[in-house]
Amino acid sequence: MNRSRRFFLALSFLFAGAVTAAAQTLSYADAIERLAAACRADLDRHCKGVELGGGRIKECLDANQGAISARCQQTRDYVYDSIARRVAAQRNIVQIRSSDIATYCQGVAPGDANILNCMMAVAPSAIGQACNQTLTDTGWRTERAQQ
Amino acid sequence: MKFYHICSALAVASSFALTAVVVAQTRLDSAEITNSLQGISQLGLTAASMRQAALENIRNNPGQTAVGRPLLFPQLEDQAQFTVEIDFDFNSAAIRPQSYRAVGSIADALHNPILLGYKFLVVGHTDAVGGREYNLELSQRRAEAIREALVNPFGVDASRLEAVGLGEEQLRDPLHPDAPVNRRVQLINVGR
Repeated sequence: MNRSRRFFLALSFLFAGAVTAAAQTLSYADAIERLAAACRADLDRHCKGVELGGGRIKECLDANQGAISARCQQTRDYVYDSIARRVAAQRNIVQIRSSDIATYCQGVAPGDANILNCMMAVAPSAIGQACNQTLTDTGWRTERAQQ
Repeated sequence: MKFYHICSALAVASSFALTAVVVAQTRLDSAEITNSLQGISQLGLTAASMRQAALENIRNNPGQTAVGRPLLFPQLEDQAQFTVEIDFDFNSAAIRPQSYRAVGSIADALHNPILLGYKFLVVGHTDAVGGREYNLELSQRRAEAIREALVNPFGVDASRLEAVGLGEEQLRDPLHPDAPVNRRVQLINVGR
């Protein structure tokens, strides 16, 4: 492989990674609905009677990797990645550092999402990209905007 | 202290402009669930005591017909709750793919910041087709299957959820015990 080609490949990986990181996560409802739609025939043929819980549907689709349609495979990867990112973001974001609260949310009474709502109202430019992305991945901004 | 690491990582900023791929917007249906679940129940019942009472009701009243059967827990219907129909495979606890979205919507609601920290009962009911004890056991397995899906893949903390099956002991329409409206799942906020 020549140098420029390798550079191009590296660049496209970098770019793909960045785009993935910037994309919003799907709501759990939208995510799993996409899976049900794209994998309808495959679920029926290969995973009949398999339970959604305990990660068993994913295990079943993985175990039948060679037999399921390309569309189902792609959707499975995308959907479970989105779900995992949202779960991780929602887990991570609730542990807010006390000094962040002091800086941005002075006087806000804790409980019933008050602090989180306050943090989400802080200007994205003030809190940095990684933090901002995690807030985006939780999906709460979108839900808030719609309510 | 994960927030510290995430939120102080300003130096990680990417060096090129991003064209964000905006995927489908979150649809609103979980908001309705979130709203219905904000009232905290004053039920005063544990999952274990409800299961026990349902089993005793069957054993103590073996001749009781389904038509007009009194509610086992009348107070259950007065609680703030969300009721949803989830389709399962016949005689099975496997949720049908057409109901995946409903389970996902419940997960969205339970992850809403306003409901974080609260615990919930997942109460499963059948219609009156089939044996009472069989229905009791089936509804328990189905309530547990929903709980399990909420935990994995949807990441709801397992300690926030308890599953209870009431079989056909709490019919929604006791005058039509075989009606599909009796097959349902109730979600009830039981507080912190």
